[in-house]
Amino acid sequence: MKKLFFGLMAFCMIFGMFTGCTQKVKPSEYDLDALSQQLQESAAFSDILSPVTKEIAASFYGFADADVTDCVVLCSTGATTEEIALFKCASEEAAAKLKANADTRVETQRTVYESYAPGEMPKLDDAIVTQNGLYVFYIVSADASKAQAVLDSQNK
Amino acid sequence: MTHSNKKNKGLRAVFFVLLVLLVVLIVYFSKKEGSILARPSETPSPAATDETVAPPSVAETPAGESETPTATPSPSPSEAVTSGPDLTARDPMNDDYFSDAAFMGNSLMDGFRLFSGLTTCDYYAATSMTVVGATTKACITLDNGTPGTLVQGLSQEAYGKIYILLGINEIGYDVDTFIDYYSQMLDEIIAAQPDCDIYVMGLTPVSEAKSSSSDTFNMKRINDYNTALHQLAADKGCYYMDLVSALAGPDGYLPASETTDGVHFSAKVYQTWLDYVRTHYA
Repeated sequence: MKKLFFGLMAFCMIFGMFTGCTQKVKPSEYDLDALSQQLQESAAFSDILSPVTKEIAASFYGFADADVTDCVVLCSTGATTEEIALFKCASEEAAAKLKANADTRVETQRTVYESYAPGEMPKLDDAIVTQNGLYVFYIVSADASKAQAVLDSQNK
Repeated sequence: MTHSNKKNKGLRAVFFVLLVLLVVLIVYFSKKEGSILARPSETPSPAATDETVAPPSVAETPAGESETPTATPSPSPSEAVTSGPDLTARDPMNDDYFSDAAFMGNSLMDGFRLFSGLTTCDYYAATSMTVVGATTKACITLDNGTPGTLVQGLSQEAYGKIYILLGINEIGYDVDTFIDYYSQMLDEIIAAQPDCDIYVMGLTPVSEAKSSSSDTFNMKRINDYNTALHQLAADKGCYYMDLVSALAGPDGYLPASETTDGVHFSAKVYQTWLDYVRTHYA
């Protein structure tokens, strides 16, 4: 009984250490320029990505100008579906709407590229489309694990 | 009650307290885990909003003027064309000049929309678009909210200038067949826009690596297509724009540093393309 007790106590302490001490918290603010730079340097992308204006981004993601306070969107040459789109929205409601539109963009790209460049489908399968508070990220890359690692590294 | 029993009872109490704590901890952290950024394999959900996302290429709203760069590559058709208007390099036009212009084409034209920075015109372009698809494939939303073809999009208002880039997706066709289809499409556009200057853009160059490794995407076929397009433009009273001369490097190929697949290209090349369009006009 004594052994069982100390065993359980040790387990609880170790469990507590691993859950409590290594738990990272997502940031409430992101530097979108810095994040896009880190993503581009992560070797997750195979195509040349170039920035587009907010107007162009709005034509893809269907948002009103006032609903997005900051964004960094980089598009591929057109040879691939690769893309980095990072948004800060004016409200969580606007962010939720943009997240839904970003989900739709995955499907739109799938329709456009499925016969044109079938090799792009796995990239779309691994698309990172996520909302964290006011922020919405849409990332399609050649290596999603590398892109995800950059996002995870933002957690503190 | 023995001393040993008392001890065991005490230990059991401590054990249960720890167990309860453990359960609380697990519940707490499992909830917290759910709020961490989603993993790449997150399943995308289909369209479920009342907001319509614009198709890949739709008309852009006019914006402010931009600087007018001064690059003047001159066209050099690979073969002499019998007759018809031709273009030479002139002083660059500013963005206002394009306020009555429409650009129509394939993914490369869509790239022009994305990266050239020209926003005073309208765009009708879609990935994988062909001369046949331009009149048959309903891939854009027209002003009245219904789906329509690119050519129907062009017919929605009177334009002063229309620029067309199509052909690279049909590069596997027989040249004559391609020209027949192109001619039919041009006839439709001319009928809809009789007072408009129409610019037929030749196919853009591919990289040397692509050209030497492909039976279809090579400069020999591109030049054959362009020679035929140049003649067609002349026959229809349209202007031909030689994008090989405009965009190729000194070796006659798309620079390898500006492309990943040998066909599509970087934003830098689109700037060169815009410079060419600004300086070549009727």
